[in-house]
Amino acid sequence: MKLDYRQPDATVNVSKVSPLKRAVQLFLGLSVTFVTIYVVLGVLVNILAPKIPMSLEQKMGSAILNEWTVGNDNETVNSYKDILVKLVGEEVAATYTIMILEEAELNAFAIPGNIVGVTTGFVEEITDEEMIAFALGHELGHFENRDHIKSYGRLFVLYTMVNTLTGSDGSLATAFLDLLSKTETKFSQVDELRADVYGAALLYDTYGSYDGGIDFFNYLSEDYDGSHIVSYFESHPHPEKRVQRLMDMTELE
Amino acid sequence: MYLVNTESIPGKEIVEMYGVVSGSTVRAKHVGKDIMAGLKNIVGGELRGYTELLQESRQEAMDRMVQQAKSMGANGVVNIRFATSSVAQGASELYVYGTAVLVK
Amino acid sequence: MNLIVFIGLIVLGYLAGSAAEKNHYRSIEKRESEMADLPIVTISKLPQNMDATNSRLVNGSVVISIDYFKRILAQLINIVGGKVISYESLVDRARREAILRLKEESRGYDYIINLRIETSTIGNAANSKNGVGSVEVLAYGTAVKVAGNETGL
Repeated sequence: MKLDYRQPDATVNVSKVSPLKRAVQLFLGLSVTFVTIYVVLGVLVNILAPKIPMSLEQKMGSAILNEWTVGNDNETVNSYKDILVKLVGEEVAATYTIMILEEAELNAFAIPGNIVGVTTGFVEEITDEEMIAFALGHELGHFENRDHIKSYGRLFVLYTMVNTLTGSDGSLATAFLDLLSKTETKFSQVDELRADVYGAALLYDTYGSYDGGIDFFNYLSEDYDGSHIVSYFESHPHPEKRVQRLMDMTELE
Repeated sequence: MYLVNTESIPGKEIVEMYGVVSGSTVRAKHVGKDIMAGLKNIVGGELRGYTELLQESRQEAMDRMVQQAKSMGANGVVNIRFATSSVAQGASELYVYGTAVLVK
Repeated sequence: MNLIVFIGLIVLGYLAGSAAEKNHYRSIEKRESEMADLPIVTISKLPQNMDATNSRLVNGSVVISIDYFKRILAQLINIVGGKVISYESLVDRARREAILRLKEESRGYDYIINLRIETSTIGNAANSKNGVGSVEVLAYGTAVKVAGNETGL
C-alpha cells in the first residue's frame, strides 16, 4: 500500500451560514414571538382579573407592604379618610384603608387588598385638599379597573415565560425582559390615563371643578425633569400630557 | 464508501492511503425537549430527545467526514473513532475522524 | 442601561472575535500548506516496507475561548434547536491548531501514526449555567523516523 499524503477539503466542518445573519434572524423572530404572546396574555389577564377573590388580593397586599415601613401618622390618615368620604360616601370609603409609607419621594399607590398607600413625601408636599382628593380619586380609579391585579398578572407571566424559554441565563433573559417591559409600560400608561379620568370625575362631582387635578399635574411638571421622549418609556405619562387630557375633558363639560 | 473502525477493511486490499479526515458538528435541541429532559431528571429513564440529538449529530458528522474523504479521491475511511463532548448547555458536539484510503 | 451594555458587549465580541478568527484561519491555512509534506494517519502501523529507526510520543494542545457574540448566538439557537453554527468554527479551529502543533513538535520525523484526539471543555464549566467558556483539544500520536527513502512505498 502506498502512502500518498493529501489534504482534505477543510471547509466541510463549518457551516456557510453567516452567524451575524442567523443571530439577527433569531433575535427578531424570538422578540416578535415573545411580544405577541405577551400581548395575547395581557388581554387574557384583563379578562381574568376581575375574578380574583379578595382574600388572594389581601395576601398579595401584605407581601407588598412588607417592602415598606408603615408610619403611624393617624391624624393625616383620618383627614385623608374624611376627604375620601366626601368623594365616595361613608359606605364605600369604609372598604378602603389608608396607610402612610415612609419614603421621601412623592408617590401614591393602589395596593391589592383595597389599601391606598401614600408616601410621607406626598403628605409633606401636597397640602391642598382638592389636590389630595384628586390623588385619592386616581388611586380609587386603579382599584375600580383592577389595574394592579392586571399588571402583576402580566409581570408574572412575563418573567415565567422568558426565564423558562431562555433558561434564565442572565444576559439573554435580561435583553428580552427589557424589551417586554417596554411593552408593559405602554399598557401601564393607558391605565394611568383612565385612572385620571375616574379621579377627575369624582373630583368634579364633589368639588365642582377640575382644578385639583390640574394643579396637581402642574405641580408634578415643575419637578419633572424628564423630556417627553423619556416619558414614552415610563410607566406614567408625562404630566403635561395628563393635564392636556384633563383640560380636554373640561372643554367637553 | 467503505467505513470501518478497524485498521484494514476485512477482505479487501488497501491500495493507497491519503491522510486524516474528520467531521464535526455541534447541535442543540429546542427548548421543549430541554424542559422534557428536566422533568425526566425526576423519574429517570432514557432521554429520547437527546438520544435523537446524538444520532443526528453522528449522522451529520459522518457525512462531513465522508465529504472530506471524497474530496481527496478516497473511497473508504478506516480506523474511525468517535468523540463526543458537550460544549454548550443543551448542545452536544460530535467529532469523528479516521484515515482516508483507496480500496481495491 | 442594561440593554445598552448587553448590546455593546455583543458588538465588541463580534468585531474582536471575527477578526481573531479570520487571522487564526489564515495562520492555520498557511501552516497546513507548509507542513503538507509530513504525513499523519490514525492507523497504528507504518506503510509497508519501512524500517523505523526512531519513534516517540508527540502531542499538541490548544485552548480556545468563546467570544460574547458566539455565546449569545448559541443560547438563541438553544431555544429553537438545530446546528450551533457559532461553535462549529471554534472546535474546527481548535482541532486544526492542535494537529498543527503536534506536527511542529514532530519536525525531523517522517511520519506520524496512531493519531488520537481528545476534546474537552474547560473554563466556566463549574458555573455551567452560562454554558462553556472554552474548548480544549489535545492531539497525540507517535512520530516515527524511517531509514532511507521518505516518500514511502
